[in-house]
Amino acid sequence: MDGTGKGPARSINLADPRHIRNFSIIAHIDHGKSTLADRLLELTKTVAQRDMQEQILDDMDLERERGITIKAHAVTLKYPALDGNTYTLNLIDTPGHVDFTYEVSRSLAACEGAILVVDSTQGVEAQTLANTYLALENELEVFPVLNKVDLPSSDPARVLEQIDTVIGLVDTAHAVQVSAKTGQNCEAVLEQIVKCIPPPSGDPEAPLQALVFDCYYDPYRGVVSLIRVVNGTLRPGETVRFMASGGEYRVDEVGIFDPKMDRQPSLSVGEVGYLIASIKQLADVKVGDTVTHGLTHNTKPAADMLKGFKEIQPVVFAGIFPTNSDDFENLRNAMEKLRLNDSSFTYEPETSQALGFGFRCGFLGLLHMEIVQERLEREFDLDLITTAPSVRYKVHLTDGTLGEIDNPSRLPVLNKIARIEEPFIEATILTRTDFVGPLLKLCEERRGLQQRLEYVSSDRVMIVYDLPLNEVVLDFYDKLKSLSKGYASFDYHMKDYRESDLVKLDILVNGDPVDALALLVHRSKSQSLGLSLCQRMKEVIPQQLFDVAVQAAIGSKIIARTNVKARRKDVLAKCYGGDVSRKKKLLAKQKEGKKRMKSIGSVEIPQEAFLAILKVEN
Amino acid sequence: MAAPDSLPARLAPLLPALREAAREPLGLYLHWPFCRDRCTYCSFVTTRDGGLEAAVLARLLEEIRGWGRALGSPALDTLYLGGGTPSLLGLEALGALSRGIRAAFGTLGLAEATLEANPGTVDQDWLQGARRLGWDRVSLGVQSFDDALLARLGRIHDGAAAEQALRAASAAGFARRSADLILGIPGQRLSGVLEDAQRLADLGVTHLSIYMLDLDKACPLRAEVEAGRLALPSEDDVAECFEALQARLPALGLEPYEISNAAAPGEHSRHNLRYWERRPYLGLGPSAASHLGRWRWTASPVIPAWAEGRGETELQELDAAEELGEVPLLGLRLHQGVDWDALRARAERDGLLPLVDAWEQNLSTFHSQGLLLREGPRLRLTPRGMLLSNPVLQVFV
Ligand SMILES: Nc1nc2c(ncn2[C@@H]2O[C@H](COP(=O)(O)OP(=O)(O)OP(=O)(O)O)[C@@H](O)[C@H]2O)c(=O)[nH]1
Ligand code: SF4
Ligand SMILES: [Mg+2]
Repeated sequence: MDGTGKGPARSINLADPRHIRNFSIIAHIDHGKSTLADRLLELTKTVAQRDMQEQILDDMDLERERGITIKAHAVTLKYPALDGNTYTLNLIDTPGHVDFTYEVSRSLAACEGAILVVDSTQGVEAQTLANTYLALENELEVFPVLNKVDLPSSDPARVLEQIDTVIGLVDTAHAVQVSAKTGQNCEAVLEQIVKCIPPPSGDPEAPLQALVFDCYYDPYRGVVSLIRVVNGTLRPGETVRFMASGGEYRVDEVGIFDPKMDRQPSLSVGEVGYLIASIKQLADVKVGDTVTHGLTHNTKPAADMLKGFKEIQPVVFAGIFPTNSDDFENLRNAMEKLRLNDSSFTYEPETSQALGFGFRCGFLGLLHMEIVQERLEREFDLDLITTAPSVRYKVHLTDGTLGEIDNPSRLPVLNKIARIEEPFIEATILTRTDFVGPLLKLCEERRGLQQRLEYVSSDRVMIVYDLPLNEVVLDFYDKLKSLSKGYASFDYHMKDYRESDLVKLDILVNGDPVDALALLVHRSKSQSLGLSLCQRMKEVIPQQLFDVAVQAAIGSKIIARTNVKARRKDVLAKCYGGDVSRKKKLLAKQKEGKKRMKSIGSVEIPQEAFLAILKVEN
Repeated sequence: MAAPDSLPARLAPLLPALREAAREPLGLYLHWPFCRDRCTYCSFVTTRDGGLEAAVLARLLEEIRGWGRALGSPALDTLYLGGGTPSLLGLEALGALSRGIRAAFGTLGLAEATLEANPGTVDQDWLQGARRLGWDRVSLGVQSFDDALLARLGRIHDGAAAEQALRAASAAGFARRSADLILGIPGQRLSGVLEDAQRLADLGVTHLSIYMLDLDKACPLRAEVEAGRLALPSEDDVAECFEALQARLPALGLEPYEISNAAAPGEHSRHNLRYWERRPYLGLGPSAASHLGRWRWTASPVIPAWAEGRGETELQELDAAEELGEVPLLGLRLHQGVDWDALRARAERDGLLPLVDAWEQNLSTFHSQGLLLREGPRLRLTPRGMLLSNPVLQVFV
């Protein structure tokens, strides 16, 4: 028996690379990736029937609560194929939401193929396109799976036509039609994987090269790296080197996910699994790095690193501050650990007059921002305040220098600014013909410039717009969804910077500007925004023991004001008899609510106030 | 002594300590969880299912006996029969309870025995009978004299009935008569509240409890409000009403002595004072709360379960810091406030001075905001502080 309590290692021979298939499941959000993964796990008996639950790979609380995949999840299946061989299938289930595209691209780098799931009742959506292109860029073999054929509105023929017209590059002849929900025809997907996706190539005797495509921090086991072995063989006890960071460690354990951690005697060419070494410096492990052997009497390092990942550039920035300033160091620790698992968010220390010490963080989008805050709070037991999100502006000063600003409160004084440029994206919207009108109107209101409008099938339209990112990060997605009753999808990438007439909107609380509430907005919208923002603040700032004045200002000019009137009554004056415990509980609950607020001056401001901008009519 | 089987099992191991605590005279509260109709705002533990009455009565008698025995027939100082509607008890049942109490507890030094009564359920005979059984104080749920408001509250009586009940109580020999008033009823006006108070004073009540409507739990009145069919007065209006009433009461001979209570000289509720002064009391009946020694417990609010002796008792043991915190938490509700010097001395004895220092620091903003006042050794809430007491009292939880 080994000492880890995980059961004896399975003694299997080194897997023959010819019998390995590495693939990701990609799709637009909600098209059924995780549900299909469930069926594949079931069909291969990877998970016992009694342990099965829906979207079993979505094992994070947040994923289960929201019903979406946030992290890519790797799992190894054993599939006895019709040709008589048993194949090792390394499956990676990926998220569909645009904010988590980086998860998809990293997963694809560990694979030779991808299953493109398309909801046959919906058709090709924006992330269907985006993720397919990602797979094709990585030179992966892609085959489509048309899902949800159990539903009456399913129309596989139409969807195949869309795939042909819009994507073109994917072979629709081998498309498999399934219902991931009922399991109908899912065995065919397994056969197709074996037939369509090429086995990994690589040399088991060559110096070790393994790609770190993900990692996370486990409080008991330390850093766990998820790797894909490209060349060579990795065994416990050996010394490995992380080539980019230079850290060298002795390997404690290697294994696969099935979907629990299952230790293995080795990982070799084409295999996907995990690596645990007693890694002290979290900074030594970076996704995209190559693991090789250290130089010892029987191992030697590889000469070259594998192609890593493009550094991902955050597009939305916000401050994250501990509600209780004593938690600053805890927050720093938490960020360091979370970043291991999510290298797409960035953080650097910042100080705010209003909020004290915290971090300026970069995210891939608003959902990403929300998820990072929630994960920090849950996984590290912190209470946090996130400030209004901003994009990164280029500010040209009168002295000819150029600065980048992602925090509006850091904007230099007006007379030093020559001009400001803001980031533009190219947005692709796919929708039904009947919603084109309202969506075009939305894009125009958001200062968009139309680039293309194309019919991709008789009832489906692709709209391409250049849009200022700051008009999109806030509530564009929600608006798009509500205007189209859910029948529009949206994807974007950064395009360029363009000069704009932007002004800084300050929010003053009891006469003092609160740096964490400052915003950069287009001049044409500043007046109405200031007004609705004040209104919204009035709704979310609870009554205090004194009047609180909230004002919006541009420069020294007050453009809007509201007043939160002092609270006159906050008392338990009900007949509770001797039930003191109940009274105490009520008071304790009230007090708990207050802890979640930040005192600025003597005014207690809740999280919602900092994000008020997300909830106002733009 | 073994625990009588009528006592919640969780309390059995505590009996020696509880007995020790019961050497000081106790307050006894009994809960009679029956009403003829449910008021639209009610969140009390009560039912209209009279079918349970016999079982509840039997269980109450059993618990009275059991606790009397378990605590060694402790002396009672105050007695309070509340509900629900205890005035629905027939005189026979009331007699059985009264006798049961006398048999199980020491009642020679009993200084006050209050009966809660609904004006819609009492008559002269009943009141006389109750008086003869030894009850010497009534608390009548008047709530308002405005018939429209009473109907809105779903009360089973009108204003005239309330007046009649108060007169009958007086005639029956209840010299000590308390009335409840509710503020914040949809449609209620300040002038009406002041008239009600005047009328109660004219009727000679010696005590007044003023509650503010608080629809924290689901109830028909809240549903009406949420559906937009009724509008609650604004917090400001209720505050104004409360303040105006407070200001008027002394002229009516009723001096406010606690956030929600006012009394003629010497007429405060001794039983209720126990709650705020942290003196021991035993509560029997579904949802009844007890405080004895370092423990607080609350009986199951599920009436049938409680009656069958299988309800869950919620028990809490207080540590020294929690006990200390309760002193101002409860004591500040009283107009006389808290003897802060004495509190510091106690804290010093218990090694809890840092805690008190921290409180003082947190309280300082309330001083500067005019909610708290230090007068000699005593700390008390100002009139404004009374209405804004929650933020102050939160310091101690
Ligand atoms: N009727 C039907 N519903 C399905 C089918 N497959 C998935 N669903 C449902 O579609 C919803 C989304 O399924 P998921 O598997 O979570 O989709 P996903 O692609 O993993 O979503 P993300 O990971 O968030 O991008 C769930 O409610 C599933 O039950 C199917 O074949 N038929
Ligand atoms: S009389 Fe009191 S306990 Fe009975 S229903 Fe009305 S409010 Fe509730
Ligand atoms: Mg999923």
